[in-house]
Amino acid sequence: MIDVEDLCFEYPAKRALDRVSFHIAPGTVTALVGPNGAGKTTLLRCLATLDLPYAGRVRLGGIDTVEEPRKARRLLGFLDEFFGLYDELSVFQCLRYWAGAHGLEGDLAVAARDAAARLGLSDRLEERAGSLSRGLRQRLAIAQAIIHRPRILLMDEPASGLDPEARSSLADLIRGLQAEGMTIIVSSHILVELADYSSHMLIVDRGRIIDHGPIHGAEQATAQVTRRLRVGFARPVAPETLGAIAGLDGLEWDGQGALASFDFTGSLEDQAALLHRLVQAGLPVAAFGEDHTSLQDRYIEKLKAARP
Amino acid sequence: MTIRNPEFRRNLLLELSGQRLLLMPLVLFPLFLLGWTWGEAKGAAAVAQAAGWGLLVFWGTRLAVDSLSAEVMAKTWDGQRLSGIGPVTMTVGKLFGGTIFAWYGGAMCLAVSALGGGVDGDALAALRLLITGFFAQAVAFWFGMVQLRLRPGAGRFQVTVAQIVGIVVSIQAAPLLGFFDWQVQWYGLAFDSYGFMLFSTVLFTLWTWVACWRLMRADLRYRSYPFAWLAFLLFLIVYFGGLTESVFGEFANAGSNLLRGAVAYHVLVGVTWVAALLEPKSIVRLRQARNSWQQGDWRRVLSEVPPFVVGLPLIAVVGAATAFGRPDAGLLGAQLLSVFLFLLRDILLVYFVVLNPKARRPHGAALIFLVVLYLLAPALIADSGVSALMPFFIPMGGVEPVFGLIGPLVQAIGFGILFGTRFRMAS
Repeated sequence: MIDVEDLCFEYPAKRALDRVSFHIAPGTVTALVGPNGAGKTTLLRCLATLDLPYAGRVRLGGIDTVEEPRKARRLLGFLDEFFGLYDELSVFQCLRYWAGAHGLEGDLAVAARDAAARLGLSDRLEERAGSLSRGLRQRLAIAQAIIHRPRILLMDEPASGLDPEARSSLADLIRGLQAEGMTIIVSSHILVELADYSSHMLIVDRGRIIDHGPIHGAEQATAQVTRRLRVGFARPVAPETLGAIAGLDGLEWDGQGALASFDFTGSLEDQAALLHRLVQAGLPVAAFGEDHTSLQDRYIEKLKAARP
Repeated sequence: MTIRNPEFRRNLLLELSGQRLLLMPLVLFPLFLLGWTWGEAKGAAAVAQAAGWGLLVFWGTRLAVDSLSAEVMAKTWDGQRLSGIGPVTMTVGKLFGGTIFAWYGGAMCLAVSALGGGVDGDALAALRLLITGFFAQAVAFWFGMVQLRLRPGAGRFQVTVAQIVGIVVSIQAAPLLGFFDWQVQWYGLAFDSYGFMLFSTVLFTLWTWVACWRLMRADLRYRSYPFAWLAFLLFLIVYFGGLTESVFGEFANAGSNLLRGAVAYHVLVGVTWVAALLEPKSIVRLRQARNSWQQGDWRRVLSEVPPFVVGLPLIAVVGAATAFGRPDAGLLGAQLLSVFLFLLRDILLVYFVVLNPKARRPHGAALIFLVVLYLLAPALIADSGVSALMPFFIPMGGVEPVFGLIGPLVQAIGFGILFGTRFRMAS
């Protein structure tokens, strides 16, 4: 869906992106991460056709963004970190405007109501955009960005400034859009939250891609991958009980015997089999899944490895 | 097209609320009545003309710039750039939609002015105001876009500057010319001064709209080629070619071949100079153009090089044609060539100064350098009596052919070398 080939972007005194190449498959959610100044926002703006690359090529759904920006924009929704709204217009008027601006044909009011419904704004249609809370403004901005049902959605720090409830709601929304088949790139610094909904991670550092791959569950069920898993128990268990089960490396306990984490190498099928074995062994498993802090570990490990 | 234009419709929604629709006639009609009490129909027309100027030119210019700057300040501009709205639709939607409330009141003023028979000595006052309104707003919008491209981000100061530019430029169509009883012959067409200014304003309004569209295209990141700029230069050649003998020939003092034969040439030099100053300057874009040139990708070169550069050969051709068409081709040619070399020197100087990565107000700094070179240095030379050095600072190829050409040539080469260092620093 997104093909980037040898993309370079320069500022007068600095090369912000240096021969960046990657491919993003349709229907994935990619977490775009990297330190401050790594080139994440520049990359997103190049993908969004807002900035022209110095060299290289960006294709969205096969369309070259430099040669045919208008066609590319039809495929695209973009939510800037510092987005703005037409504060004097009502939610409905904003949405109807963007439906027209994105070239939708037919009854724009229907499209506006539909977008409002998807974002849970149906009961706010007559409210002025300027009177909405930060979380609702975020929802309206996303509704505006996806009103033309783009196949690609780019989001730059979408959770910035949101309270925990709004963040959780944003995560649900992103999962929902992915379920509709949208290809999404989310740039953020909050790795734990990204792990909730991202299928892939793209790490940028100093204008280069240093890692790009699936995070969890996105890989083939049969692919052999090492991931850190976490298991929670309903009541404390003896450490040796878990240690007796083969294939668990780097076992760590919380000290009370109620929470353990370990490295596990295998496919998703193997992971399912492991859970089955734990339950069969009589362990009171209350929670089982990938340790999201491992995403941060992987990020830091990749950054360290990429730096001399 | 306009009513289907989403940007125009949004502006209608914002600008034409019921309250505002009611407020405008409530303010204007008492004013018209007041004018009527002073001088009946003529009095009402005079008041309508003044109010119309206030609405369409003074306020309309601000609304025109605001239609763009408000988006930048509200951080909605990137969203608009990403929408499916094309450059023509966006320009029309902003320029005419953003000013719709001024036009709503302006239409009332124009109607009263026309029905009242215009103002004394100018029966076409309403038509003149209409055209001036379009022109002033277009110029203000154009300058707002120029500023946006030169310095991304907008503030109230930039809006005011663009408004002032729109107002000042539109004064050329004001009735001041009514004091001069000129008859203008333009390619066999006879105009009085009023008529000719009206005709010229219409032409330049059309070109300003084209300029707005081209800048919008560039800002929406559409690939553009400099053909519109070349067409504008050709238009200037034709337009001023028609004026050369009839207007400038009437001035005995200015009747030398230097001026009479080269009006279009000097106008081309002037607009190129202004274009070079107003064009956004990016070493990255210039390096892209250089790379494309080295790869022989002429299509990309044309889209990446600043448009005024493509016009330079045309200026040279016009200068050569002008010189060789005159009996004193040698001196005239030397003069025109020295002007061209000074143009090159100035462009290279401006680019060298502006592309300094540490410069804070680079365009201002470049202008100060030019003021020093064109005003202070000649003044010092004149005072110190070393007049032989004057051709180094003022185009004087027609008077001192040797120094008049060597002086600017050496400077152009010098600034060219300095400009080249900007490429090296960035690579």
